[in-house]
Amino acid sequence: MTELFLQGLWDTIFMTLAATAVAYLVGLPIGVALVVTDDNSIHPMPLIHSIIGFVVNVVRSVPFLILLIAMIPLTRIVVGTAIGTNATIFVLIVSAAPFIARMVESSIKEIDSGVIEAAQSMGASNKTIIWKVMLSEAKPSLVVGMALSTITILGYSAMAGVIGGGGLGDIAIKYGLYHYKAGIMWLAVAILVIVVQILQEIGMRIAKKIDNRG
Amino acid sequence: MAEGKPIISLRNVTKDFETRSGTIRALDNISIDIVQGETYGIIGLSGAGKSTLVRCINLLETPTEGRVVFNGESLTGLSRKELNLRRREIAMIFQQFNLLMQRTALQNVCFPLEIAGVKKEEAARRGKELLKRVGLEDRVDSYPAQLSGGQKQRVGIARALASNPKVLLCDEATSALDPKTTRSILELLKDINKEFGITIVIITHEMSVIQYACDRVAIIEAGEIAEEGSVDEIFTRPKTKAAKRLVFPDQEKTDGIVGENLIRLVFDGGASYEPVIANMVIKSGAPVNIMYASIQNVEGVNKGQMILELSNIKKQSEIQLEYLNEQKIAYEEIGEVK
Repeated sequence: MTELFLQGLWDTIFMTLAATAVAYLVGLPIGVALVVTDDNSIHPMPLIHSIIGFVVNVVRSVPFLILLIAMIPLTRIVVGTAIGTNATIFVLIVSAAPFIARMVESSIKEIDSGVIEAAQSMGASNKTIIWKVMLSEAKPSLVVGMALSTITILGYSAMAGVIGGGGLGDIAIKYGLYHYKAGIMWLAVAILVIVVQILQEIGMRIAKKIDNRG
Repeated sequence: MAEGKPIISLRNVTKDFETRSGTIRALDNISIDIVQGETYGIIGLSGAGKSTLVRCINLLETPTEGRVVFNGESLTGLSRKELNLRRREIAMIFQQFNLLMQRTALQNVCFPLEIAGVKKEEAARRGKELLKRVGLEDRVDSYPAQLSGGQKQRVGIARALASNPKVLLCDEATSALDPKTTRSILELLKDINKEFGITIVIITHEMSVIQYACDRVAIIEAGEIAEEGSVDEIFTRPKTKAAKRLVFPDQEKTDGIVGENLIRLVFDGGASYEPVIANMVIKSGAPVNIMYASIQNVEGVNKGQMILELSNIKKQSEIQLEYLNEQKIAYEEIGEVK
Protein backbone atom coordinates (compact mmCIF):
# COMPACT_ATOMS: atom_id res chain seq x y z
CA MET A 1 0.00 0.00 0.00
CA THR A 2 2.81 2.44 0.90
CA GLU A 3 4.45 1.57 -2.37
CA LEU A 4 1.23 2.32 -4.22
CA PHE A 5 1.01 5.75 -2.66
CA LEU A 6 4.70 6.52 -3.16
CA GLN A 7 4.36 5.60 -6.83
CA GLY A 8 1.19 7.73 -7.06
CA LEU A 9 2.84 10.70 -5.38
CA TRP A 10 5.85 10.42 -7.66
CA ASP A 11 3.64 10.18 -10.77
CA THR A 12 1.64 13.22 -9.68
CA ILE A 13 4.73 15.29 -8.97
CA PHE A 14 6.44 14.19 -12.17
CA MET A 15 3.37 14.92 -14.32
CA THR A 16 2.81 18.27 -12.65
CA LEU A 17 6.37 19.49 -12.85
CA ALA A 18 7.04 18.21 -16.36
CA ALA A 19 3.77 19.63 -17.68
CA THR A 20 4.34 22.96 -15.90
CA ALA A 21 7.86 23.28 -17.27
CA VAL A 22 6.88 22.60 -20.87
CA ALA A 23 3.66 24.62 -20.58
CA TYR A 24 5.77 27.60 -19.49
CA LEU A 25 8.07 27.17 -22.46
CA VAL A 26 4.98 27.52 -24.63
CA GLY A 27 2.84 29.86 -22.51
CA LEU A 28 5.44 32.42 -21.49
CA PRO A 29 6.30 33.56 -25.04
CA ILE A 30 2.59 33.66 -25.88
CA GLY A 31 1.95 35.81 -22.80
CA VAL A 32 4.77 38.16 -23.78
CA ALA A 33 3.41 38.30 -27.32
CA LEU A 34 -0.03 39.21 -25.97
CA VAL A 35 1.51 42.14 -24.09
CA VAL A 36 3.82 43.55 -26.74
CA THR A 37 1.34 43.35 -29.62
CA ASP A 38 -1.35 45.19 -27.66
CA ASP A 39 -2.37 48.75 -28.55
CA ASN A 40 -0.03 51.36 -27.02
CA SER A 41 2.52 48.70 -26.17
CA ILE A 42 6.01 48.46 -27.60
CA HIS A 43 5.07 46.69 -30.84
CA PRO A 44 1.35 47.05 -31.60
CA MET A 45 0.02 44.43 -34.02
CA PRO A 46 -3.76 44.47 -33.67
CA LEU A 47 -4.48 41.52 -35.97
CA ILE A 48 -1.89 39.18 -34.42
CA HIS A 49 -3.02 40.28 -30.97
CA SER A 50 -6.66 39.41 -31.69
CA ILE A 51 -5.78 36.05 -33.24
CA ILE A 52 -3.60 34.95 -30.31
CA GLY A 53 -6.20 36.22 -27.84
CA PHE A 54 -8.95 34.31 -29.62
CA VAL A 55 -7.05 30.99 -29.73
CA VAL A 56 -6.09 31.35 -26.07
CA ASN A 57 -9.69 31.99 -25.10
CA VAL A 58 -11.01 29.06 -27.12
CA VAL A 59 -8.63 26.54 -25.54
CA ARG A 60 -9.30 27.99 -22.11
CA SER A 61 -13.06 27.65 -22.49
CA VAL A 62 -12.88 23.89 -23.02
CA PRO A 63 -13.16 22.08 -19.66
CA PHE A 64 -10.11 19.93 -18.99
CA LEU A 65 -12.08 16.71 -18.73
CA ILE A 66 -13.57 17.26 -22.18
CA LEU A 67 -10.22 18.25 -23.64
CA LEU A 68 -8.75 15.08 -22.19
CA ILE A 69 -11.24 12.95 -24.11
CA ALA A 70 -11.57 15.09 -27.23
CA MET A 71 -7.81 15.11 -27.71
CA ILE A 72 -7.42 11.32 -27.63
CA PRO A 73 -6.81 11.01 -31.41
CA LEU A 74 -4.26 13.85 -31.40
CA THR A 75 -2.61 12.53 -28.26
CA ARG A 76 -2.27 9.12 -29.91
CA ILE A 77 -0.48 10.72 -32.89
CA VAL A 78 1.85 12.88 -30.82
CA VAL A 79 2.63 10.66 -27.83
CA GLY A 80 1.95 7.28 -29.38
CA THR A 81 -0.62 6.32 -26.76
CA ALA A 82 -3.72 7.96 -25.30
CA ILE A 83 -3.42 6.53 -21.79
CA GLY A 84 -0.89 6.80 -19.02
CA THR A 85 1.33 9.47 -17.58
CA ASN A 86 2.94 10.74 -20.80
CA ALA A 87 -0.42 11.12 -22.55
CA THR A 88 -1.69 13.08 -19.56
CA ILE A 89 1.35 15.36 -19.61
CA PHE A 90 0.67 16.23 -23.25
CA VAL A 91 -2.95 17.16 -22.59
CA LEU A 92 -1.93 19.10 -19.48
CA ILE A 93 0.50 21.17 -21.55
CA VAL A 94 -2.11 22.00 -24.18
CA SER A 95 -4.61 22.93 -21.52
CA ALA A 96 -2.27 24.90 -19.25
CA ALA A 97 -0.27 26.89 -21.81
CA PRO A 98 -3.07 29.36 -22.60
CA PHE A 99 -3.82 29.72 -18.91
CA ILE A 100 -0.15 30.48 -18.27
CA ALA A 101 -0.10 32.94 -21.18
CA ARG A 102 -2.88 34.96 -19.51
CA MET A 103 -1.13 34.80 -16.12
CA VAL A 104 2.12 36.05 -17.66
CA GLU A 105 0.21 38.76 -19.51
CA SER A 106 -1.41 40.08 -16.35
CA SER A 107 1.87 39.92 -14.40
CA ILE A 108 3.66 42.02 -17.02
CA LYS A 109 0.78 44.45 -17.25
CA GLU A 110 1.21 45.24 -13.56
CA ILE A 111 4.42 47.08 -14.41
CA ASP A 112 4.05 50.83 -14.50
CA SER A 113 3.99 51.88 -18.16
CA GLY A 114 6.23 54.81 -17.19
CA VAL A 115 9.11 52.43 -16.52
CA ILE A 116 8.79 51.01 -20.02
CA GLU A 117 8.61 54.52 -21.41
CA ALA A 118 11.77 55.39 -19.49
CA ALA A 119 13.58 52.45 -21.07
CA GLN A 120 12.39 53.56 -24.51
CA SER A 121 13.65 57.07 -23.82
CA MET A 122 17.09 55.56 -23.14
CA GLY A 123 17.08 53.94 -26.56
CA ALA A 124 16.44 50.39 -25.36
CA SER A 125 15.48 47.90 -28.07
CA ASN A 126 12.26 45.94 -27.69
CA LYS A 127 14.29 42.83 -26.91
CA THR A 128 16.01 44.63 -24.04
CA ILE A 129 12.68 45.96 -22.79
CA ILE A 130 11.14 42.47 -22.79
CA TRP A 131 14.05 40.84 -20.94
CA LYS A 132 15.37 43.56 -18.70
CA VAL A 133 12.24 45.54 -17.93
CA MET A 134 9.12 43.44 -18.43
CA LEU A 135 10.31 40.01 -17.29
CA SER A 136 12.77 41.29 -14.66
CA GLU A 137 10.38 43.74 -13.06
CA ALA A 138 7.49 41.25 -13.11
CA LYS A 139 9.56 38.45 -11.57
CA PRO A 140 7.87 38.31 -8.14
CA SER A 141 4.43 38.36 -9.72
CA LEU A 142 5.52 35.73 -12.27
CA VAL A 143 6.65 33.45 -9.44
CA VAL A 144 3.29 33.81 -7.66
CA GLY A 145 1.63 33.02 -10.99
CA MET A 146 3.87 29.99 -11.41
CA ALA A 147 2.82 28.61 -8.01
CA LEU A 148 -0.80 29.11 -8.98
CA SER A 149 -0.29 27.48 -12.39
CA THR A 150 1.53 24.51 -10.85
CA ILE A 151 -1.33 23.97 -8.40
CA THR A 152 -3.92 24.23 -11.17
CA ILE A 153 -1.97 21.69 -13.25
CA LEU A 154 -1.73 19.43 -10.20
CA GLY A 155 -5.53 19.61 -9.88
CA TYR A 156 -5.97 18.80 -13.57
CA SER A 157 -3.51 15.91 -13.35
CA ALA A 158 -5.72 14.31 -10.71
CA MET A 159 -8.57 14.28 -13.22
CA ALA A 160 -6.41 12.30 -15.59
CA GLY A 161 -7.24 9.25 -13.51
CA VAL A 162 -10.24 9.00 -15.80
CA ILE A 163 -7.99 7.94 -18.68
CA GLY A 164 -5.78 5.90 -16.39
CA GLY A 165 -3.28 8.73 -16.28
CA GLY A 166 -1.55 7.58 -13.12
CA GLY A 167 -0.87 9.54 -9.97
CA LEU A 168 -2.83 10.21 -6.83
CA GLY A 169 -5.98 11.18 -8.71
CA ASP A 170 -5.86 7.86 -10.50
CA ILE A 171 -5.62 6.03 -7.17
CA ALA A 172 -8.51 8.04 -5.72
CA ILE A 173 -10.75 7.28 -8.68
CA LYS A 174 -9.72 3.63 -9.02
CA TYR A 175 -10.12 2.72 -5.35
CA GLY A 176 -12.76 5.22 -4.32
CA LEU A 177 -15.07 5.18 -7.31
CA TYR A 178 -14.66 1.69 -8.76
CA HIS A 179 -13.87 -0.33 -5.59
CA TYR A 180 -15.81 1.66 -3.00
CA LYS A 181 -12.73 2.03 -0.80
CA ALA A 182 -13.45 5.49 0.56
CA GLY A 183 -10.53 5.37 3.01
CA ILE A 184 -7.95 5.08 0.26
CA MET A 185 -9.67 7.81 -1.71
CA TRP A 186 -9.56 10.21 1.22
CA LEU A 187 -5.95 9.39 1.92
CA ALA A 188 -5.08 10.25 -1.69
CA VAL A 189 -7.00 13.51 -1.36
CA ALA A 190 -5.22 14.34 1.90
CA ILE A 191 -1.82 13.86 0.24
CA LEU A 192 -2.93 16.12 -2.63
CA VAL A 193 -3.93 18.80 -0.12
CA ILE A 194 -0.52 18.63 1.54
CA VAL A 195 1.28 18.86 -1.81
CA VAL A 196 -0.80 21.94 -2.74
CA GLN A 197 0.00 23.57 0.60
CA ILE A 198 3.72 22.97 0.14
CA LEU A 199 3.73 24.30 -3.43
CA GLN A 200 1.80 27.41 -2.42
CA GLU A 201 4.10 28.09 0.51
CA ILE A 202 7.25 27.64 -1.58
CA GLY A 203 5.88 29.98 -4.27
CA MET A 204 4.96 32.74 -1.84
CA ARG A 205 8.28 32.50 0.00
CA ILE A 206 10.34 32.74 -3.18
CA ALA A 207 8.21 35.65 -4.44
CA LYS A 208 8.66 37.53 -1.19
CA LYS A 209 12.37 36.85 -1.12
CA ILE A 210 13.06 38.14 -4.63
CA ASP A 211 10.75 41.16 -4.40
CA ASN A 212 12.66 44.37 -3.67
CA ARG A 213 9.66 46.65 -3.55
CA GLY A 214 8.77 46.19 0.11
CA MET B 1 15.00 84.98 -30.54
CA ALA B 2 17.78 83.65 -28.40
CA GLU B 3 21.41 83.72 -29.44
CA GLY B 4 23.38 80.60 -30.20
CA LYS B 5 23.09 77.34 -32.05
CA PRO B 6 19.83 75.46 -31.68
CA ILE B 7 20.26 71.90 -30.42
CA ILE B 8 16.57 71.07 -30.80
CA SER B 9 14.27 72.57 -33.37
CA LEU B 10 10.63 71.71 -33.75
CA ARG B 11 9.23 72.72 -37.10
CA ASN B 12 5.46 72.90 -37.54
CA VAL B 13 4.91 69.97 -35.23
CA THR B 14 1.32 68.81 -35.10
CA LYS B 15 0.05 65.82 -33.15
CA ASP B 16 -3.41 64.31 -33.50
CA PHE B 17 -4.82 61.55 -31.36
CA GLU B 18 -7.54 59.33 -32.71
CA THR B 19 -10.18 58.62 -30.11
CA ARG B 20 -13.62 57.06 -30.30
CA SER B 21 -15.23 60.48 -30.26
CA GLY B 22 -13.05 61.72 -33.12
CA THR B 23 -9.67 63.27 -33.69
CA ILE B 24 -8.16 65.40 -30.95
CA ARG B 25 -5.44 67.86 -31.87
CA ALA B 26 -2.99 67.83 -28.96
CA LEU B 27 -0.36 69.99 -30.64
CA ASP B 28 -1.06 72.50 -33.35
CA ASN B 29 1.73 73.66 -35.63
CA ILE B 30 4.42 74.18 -33.01
CA SER B 31 7.80 75.61 -33.95
CA ILE B 32 10.41 76.27 -31.30
CA ASP B 33 14.18 76.43 -31.12
CA ILE B 34 16.02 75.34 -28.01
CA VAL B 35 19.54 76.71 -27.86
CA GLN B 36 22.54 74.63 -26.86
CA GLY B 37 23.39 75.07 -23.18
CA GLU B 38 20.26 76.91 -22.13
CA THR B 39 17.56 75.92 -19.69
CA TYR B 40 14.30 76.09 -21.56
CA GLY B 41 10.94 75.94 -19.84
CA ILE B 42 7.65 74.81 -21.28
CA ILE B 43 4.74 75.73 -19.06
CA GLY B 44 1.03 75.16 -19.38
CA LEU B 45 -1.98 74.02 -17.44
CA SER B 46 -2.77 70.32 -17.39
CA GLY B 47 -4.14 69.19 -20.72
CA ALA B 48 -2.39 71.99 -22.59
CA GLY B 49 -0.21 69.50 -24.46
CA LYS B 50 3.13 70.03 -22.75
CA SER B 51 3.72 66.34 -21.99
CA THR B 52 2.93 65.43 -25.59
CA LEU B 53 5.27 68.18 -26.75
CA VAL B 54 8.22 66.92 -24.72
CA ARG B 55 7.56 63.35 -25.95
CA CYS B 56 7.72 64.61 -29.51
CA ILE B 57 11.27 65.80 -28.89
CA ASN B 58 12.59 62.24 -28.36
CA LEU B 59 9.86 60.75 -30.52
CA LEU B 60 8.19 58.76 -27.75
CA GLU B 61 5.26 60.32 -29.58
CA THR B 62 5.55 60.50 -33.34
CA PRO B 63 4.33 63.85 -34.65
CA THR B 64 1.46 63.59 -37.11
CA GLU B 65 3.07 66.36 -39.10
CA GLY B 66 6.23 68.43 -38.87
CA ARG B 67 9.90 67.84 -38.20
CA VAL B 68 12.05 67.36 -35.14
CA VAL B 69 15.67 68.35 -35.66
CA PHE B 70 18.28 67.36 -33.10
CA ASN B 71 21.82 68.64 -33.37
CA GLY B 72 21.36 69.43 -37.04
CA GLU B 73 19.84 66.06 -37.95
CA SER B 74 16.20 65.30 -38.55
CA LEU B 75 14.94 62.64 -36.11
CA THR B 76 11.63 62.18 -37.85
CA GLY B 77 12.22 59.60 -40.54
CA LEU B 78 15.13 57.81 -38.87
CA SER B 79 14.99 54.02 -38.58
CA ARG B 80 14.19 52.58 -35.15
CA LYS B 81 17.83 51.56 -34.70
CA GLU B 82 19.22 54.96 -35.58
CA LEU B 83 16.61 56.64 -33.41
CA ASN B 84 17.59 54.47 -30.43
CA LEU B 85 21.19 55.61 -30.88
CA ARG B 86 20.13 59.29 -30.89
CA ARG B 87 17.93 58.75 -27.85
CA ARG B 88 21.05 58.02 -25.80
CA GLU B 89 21.95 61.67 -26.34
CA ILE B 90 18.54 62.91 -25.19
CA ALA B 91 17.97 61.76 -21.62
CA MET B 92 14.73 62.14 -19.74
CA ILE B 93 13.52 62.30 -16.14
CA PHE B 94 9.93 61.88 -15.03
CA GLN B 95 7.35 63.00 -12.50
CA GLN B 96 6.98 59.48 -11.11
CA PHE B 97 10.74 58.85 -11.44
CA ASN B 98 10.10 55.58 -13.35
CA LEU B 99 12.92 53.67 -11.73
CA LEU B 100 13.19 49.91 -12.05
CA MET B 101 11.84 48.74 -8.70
CA GLN B 102 13.71 45.43 -8.70
CA ARG B 103 17.08 47.09 -9.21
CA THR B 104 19.28 48.97 -6.77
CA ALA B 105 20.11 52.65 -7.25
CA LEU B 106 23.42 51.67 -8.81
CA GLN B 107 21.85 49.07 -11.11
CA ASN B 108 19.32 51.68 -12.21
CA VAL B 109 22.05 54.15 -13.07
CA CYS B 110 23.93 51.43 -14.95
CA PHE B 111 20.87 50.48 -17.02
CA PRO B 112 21.45 52.98 -19.86
CA LEU B 113 25.08 51.87 -19.94
CA GLU B 114 23.98 48.24 -20.25
CA ILE B 115 21.82 49.28 -23.19
CA ALA B 116 24.81 51.03 -24.73
CA GLY B 117 26.92 47.90 -24.27
CA VAL B 118 29.38 49.37 -21.78
CA LYS B 119 31.43 46.79 -19.85
CA LYS B 120 30.11 45.92 -16.39
CA GLU B 121 33.05 47.15 -14.31
CA GLU B 122 33.30 50.35 -16.31
CA ALA B 123 29.53 50.92 -15.92
CA ALA B 124 29.67 50.31 -12.17
CA ARG B 125 32.55 52.74 -11.81
CA ARG B 126 30.72 55.46 -13.72
CA GLY B 127 27.45 54.69 -11.90
CA LYS B 128 29.08 55.17 -8.51
CA GLU B 129 30.67 58.38 -9.66
CA LEU B 130 27.31 59.75 -10.81
CA LEU B 131 25.51 58.71 -7.63
CA LYS B 132 28.21 60.54 -5.72
CA ARG B 133 27.67 63.60 -7.87
CA VAL B 134 23.95 63.68 -6.99
CA GLY B 135 24.71 63.17 -3.30
CA LEU B 136 23.72 59.54 -2.93
CA GLU B 137 27.08 57.83 -2.44
CA ASP B 138 25.74 56.14 0.70
CA ARG B 139 22.59 54.78 -1.02
CA VAL B 140 24.28 52.93 -3.88
CA ASP B 141 22.81 49.55 -2.92
CA SER B 142 19.38 50.82 -1.82
CA TYR B 143 16.27 49.84 -3.75
CA PRO B 144 13.91 52.60 -4.94
CA ALA B 145 11.31 51.51 -2.37
CA GLN B 146 13.80 52.44 0.35
CA LEU B 147 14.38 55.97 -0.97
CA SER B 148 12.44 59.21 -0.51
CA GLY B 149 10.91 61.03 -3.47
CA GLY B 150 13.79 63.48 -3.69
CA GLN B 151 16.34 60.66 -3.54
CA LYS B 152 14.49 58.73 -6.25
CA GLN B 153 14.62 61.76 -8.51
CA ARG B 154 18.34 62.09 -7.80
CA VAL B 155 18.77 58.49 -8.94
CA GLY B 156 16.68 59.41 -12.00
CA ILE B 157 19.02 62.31 -12.72
CA ALA B 158 22.14 60.19 -12.25
CA ARG B 159 20.64 57.57 -14.59
CA ALA B 160 19.85 60.25 -17.15
CA LEU B 161 23.42 61.53 -17.05
CA ALA B 162 24.96 58.07 -17.43
CA SER B 163 24.96 58.08 -21.22
CA ASN B 164 26.58 61.55 -21.42
CA PRO B 165 23.53 63.15 -23.06
CA LYS B 166 23.51 66.51 -24.79
CA VAL B 167 19.96 67.25 -23.68
CA LEU B 168 18.02 66.47 -20.51
CA LEU B 169 14.23 66.51 -20.77
CA CYS B 170 12.46 66.98 -17.43
CA ASP B 171 8.79 66.02 -17.53
CA GLU B 172 7.15 67.53 -14.43
CA ALA B 173 10.23 66.27 -12.61
CA THR B 174 9.45 68.14 -9.39
CA SER B 175 5.65 67.95 -9.39
CA ALA B 176 5.52 64.99 -7.02
CA LEU B 177 7.93 66.63 -4.58
CA ASP B 178 7.45 69.07 -1.69
CA PRO B 179 8.65 72.67 -2.15
CA LYS B 180 11.94 72.23 -0.32
CA THR B 181 12.88 69.09 -2.22
CA THR B 182 11.76 70.78 -5.44
CA ARG B 183 14.19 73.56 -4.69
CA SER B 184 17.09 71.18 -4.11
CA ILE B 185 16.35 69.20 -7.29
CA LEU B 186 16.17 72.42 -9.35
CA GLU B 187 19.44 73.49 -7.75
CA LEU B 188 21.00 70.22 -8.87
CA LEU B 189 19.64 70.65 -12.41
CA LYS B 190 21.09 74.16 -12.58
CA ASP B 191 24.48 72.88 -11.42
CA ILE B 192 24.40 70.10 -13.99
CA ASN B 193 23.53 72.58 -16.70
CA LYS B 194 26.59 74.65 -15.80
CA GLU B 195 28.96 71.82 -15.04
CA PHE B 196 28.30 69.59 -18.04
CA GLY B 197 26.89 72.17 -20.44
CA ILE B 198 23.81 69.99 -20.91
CA THR B 199 20.81 71.70 -22.44
CA ILE B 200 17.85 71.29 -20.09
CA VAL B 201 14.19 71.34 -21.09
CA ILE B 202 11.81 71.70 -18.16
CA ILE B 203 8.12 70.89 -18.51
CA THR B 204 6.01 72.14 -15.62
CA HIS B 205 2.72 73.70 -14.59
CA GLU B 206 4.42 75.69 -11.83
CA MET B 207 5.55 79.21 -12.59
CA SER B 208 7.95 79.14 -9.63
CA VAL B 209 9.91 76.30 -11.24
CA ILE B 210 10.32 78.29 -14.44
CA GLN B 211 11.24 81.42 -12.56
CA TYR B 212 13.79 79.61 -10.47
CA ALA B 213 15.51 77.48 -13.07
CA CYS B 214 14.90 78.65 -16.63
CA ASP B 215 16.47 81.13 -19.00
CA ARG B 216 13.67 81.11 -21.55
CA VAL B 217 10.12 79.89 -21.48
CA ALA B 218 7.34 78.96 -23.87
CA ILE B 219 3.76 79.12 -22.68
CA ILE B 220 1.59 76.44 -24.20
CA GLU B 221 -2.16 76.62 -24.23
CA ALA B 222 -4.60 74.36 -26.06
CA GLY B 223 -1.79 72.80 -28.06
CA GLU B 224 -0.34 76.07 -29.28
CA ILE B 225 2.57 78.23 -28.17
CA ALA B 226 0.87 81.32 -26.80
CA GLU B 227 4.01 83.22 -25.92
CA GLU B 228 7.74 82.66 -25.87
CA GLY B 229 10.56 84.74 -24.47
CA SER B 230 13.07 85.25 -21.70
CA VAL B 231 11.75 84.40 -18.25
CA ASP B 232 12.38 87.93 -16.94
CA GLU B 233 10.46 89.40 -19.85
CA ILE B 234 7.43 87.20 -19.44
CA PHE B 235 7.38 87.63 -15.69
CA THR B 236 7.43 91.36 -15.70
CA ARG B 237 5.38 91.93 -18.84
CA PRO B 238 3.21 89.00 -19.81
CA LYS B 239 1.52 89.92 -23.07
CA THR B 240 -1.01 87.22 -23.78
CA LYS B 241 -3.98 86.14 -21.69
CA ALA B 242 -2.45 82.70 -21.28
CA ALA B 243 0.73 84.18 -19.84
CA LYS B 244 -1.18 86.50 -17.52
CA ARG B 245 -3.25 83.63 -16.23
CA LEU B 246 -0.08 81.76 -15.29
CA VAL B 247 1.78 84.71 -13.80
CA PHE B 248 -1.25 86.13 -11.97
CA PRO B 249 -3.57 83.30 -10.97
CA ASP B 250 -6.88 83.81 -9.13
CA GLN B 251 -7.44 87.15 -10.76
CA GLU B 252 -11.23 87.06 -10.48
CA LYS B 253 -11.06 87.30 -6.66
CA THR B 254 -9.71 90.81 -6.84
CA ASP B 255 -11.72 92.12 -9.76
CA GLY B 256 -13.55 94.64 -7.55
CA ILE B 257 -10.39 96.42 -6.44
CA VAL B 258 -9.75 99.39 -8.71
CA GLY B 259 -8.03 102.72 -8.34
CA GLU B 260 -4.89 104.59 -9.08
CA ASN B 261 -1.37 103.49 -8.22
CA LEU B 262 -2.42 99.91 -7.70
CA ILE B 263 -0.12 96.99 -8.46
CA ARG B 264 -0.62 93.27 -8.11
CA LEU B 265 2.23 91.23 -6.69
CA VAL B 266 2.55 87.49 -6.99
CA PHE B 267 4.48 85.40 -4.52
CA ASP B 268 5.02 81.96 -5.94
CA GLY B 269 7.86 80.70 -3.84
CA GLY B 270 10.40 82.12 -6.23
CA ALA B 271 11.05 85.20 -4.10
CA SER B 272 13.64 85.24 -1.36
CA TYR B 273 12.87 85.12 2.33
CA GLU B 274 13.31 88.87 2.69
CA PRO B 275 10.50 90.95 4.18
CA VAL B 276 9.57 92.44 0.82
CA ILE B 277 6.96 95.02 1.77
CA ALA B 278 8.90 96.35 4.76
CA ASN B 279 12.08 96.71 2.71
CA MET B 280 10.15 98.47 -0.02
CA VAL B 281 8.85 101.01 2.44
CA ILE B 282 12.24 101.55 4.05
CA LYS B 283 14.00 101.95 0.71
CA SER B 284 11.54 104.44 -0.69
CA GLY B 285 10.86 106.21 2.58
CA ALA B 286 7.18 106.17 1.71
CA PRO B 287 4.33 103.95 2.92
CA VAL B 288 2.32 101.56 0.80
CA ASN B 289 -1.26 100.58 1.42
CA ILE B 290 -2.15 96.89 1.39
CA MET B 291 -5.51 96.63 -0.39
CA TYR B 292 -5.67 92.86 -0.62
CA ALA B 293 -3.48 90.05 0.54
CA SER B 294 -3.76 86.33 0.39
CA ILE B 295 -0.52 84.59 1.26
CA GLN B 296 -0.12 81.06 2.43
CA ASN B 297 2.97 79.49 3.80
CA VAL B 298 3.23 76.13 2.14
CA GLU B 299 6.04 74.15 3.74
CA GLY B 300 8.27 77.16 4.21
CA VAL B 301 7.50 78.81 0.90
CA ASN B 302 5.24 81.84 0.53
CA LYS B 303 2.57 81.58 -2.12
CA GLY B 304 -0.20 84.00 -2.96
CA GLN B 305 -0.84 87.50 -4.15
CA MET B 306 -1.19 91.01 -2.85
CA ILE B 307 -2.56 94.27 -4.15
CA LEU B 308 -0.69 97.36 -3.05
CA GLU B 309 -1.41 101.03 -3.40
CA LEU B 310 1.95 102.67 -4.02
CA SER B 311 3.03 106.09 -3.00
CA ASN B 312 1.37 108.81 -5.08
CA ILE B 313 4.65 110.66 -5.39
CA LYS B 314 6.25 109.51 -8.64
CA LYS B 315 9.83 109.45 -7.37
CA GLN B 316 8.87 107.20 -4.48
CA SER B 317 6.69 104.84 -6.50
CA GLU B 318 9.52 104.48 -8.99
CA ILE B 319 11.88 103.36 -6.23
CA GLN B 320 9.24 100.95 -5.01
CA LEU B 321 8.80 99.34 -8.43
CA GLU B 322 12.52 99.23 -8.95
CA TYR B 323 12.88 97.29 -5.71
CA LEU B 324 10.37 94.72 -6.93
CA ASN B 325 12.29 94.35 -10.18
CA GLU B 326 15.49 93.80 -8.22
CA GLN B 327 13.83 91.08 -6.16
CA LYS B 328 12.41 89.53 -9.34
CA ILE B 329 8.89 89.63 -7.98
CA ALA B 330 6.24 89.57 -10.68
CA TYR B 331 3.86 92.49 -10.63
CA GLU B 332 1.36 94.13 -12.91
CA GLU B 333 -0.07 97.60 -12.77
CA ILE B 334 -3.80 97.52 -12.27
CA GLY B 335 -4.48 101.21 -11.91
CA GLU B 336 -2.29 103.77 -13.62
CA VAL B 337 0.89 104.39 -11.62
CA LYS B 338 1.59 108.11 -11.58
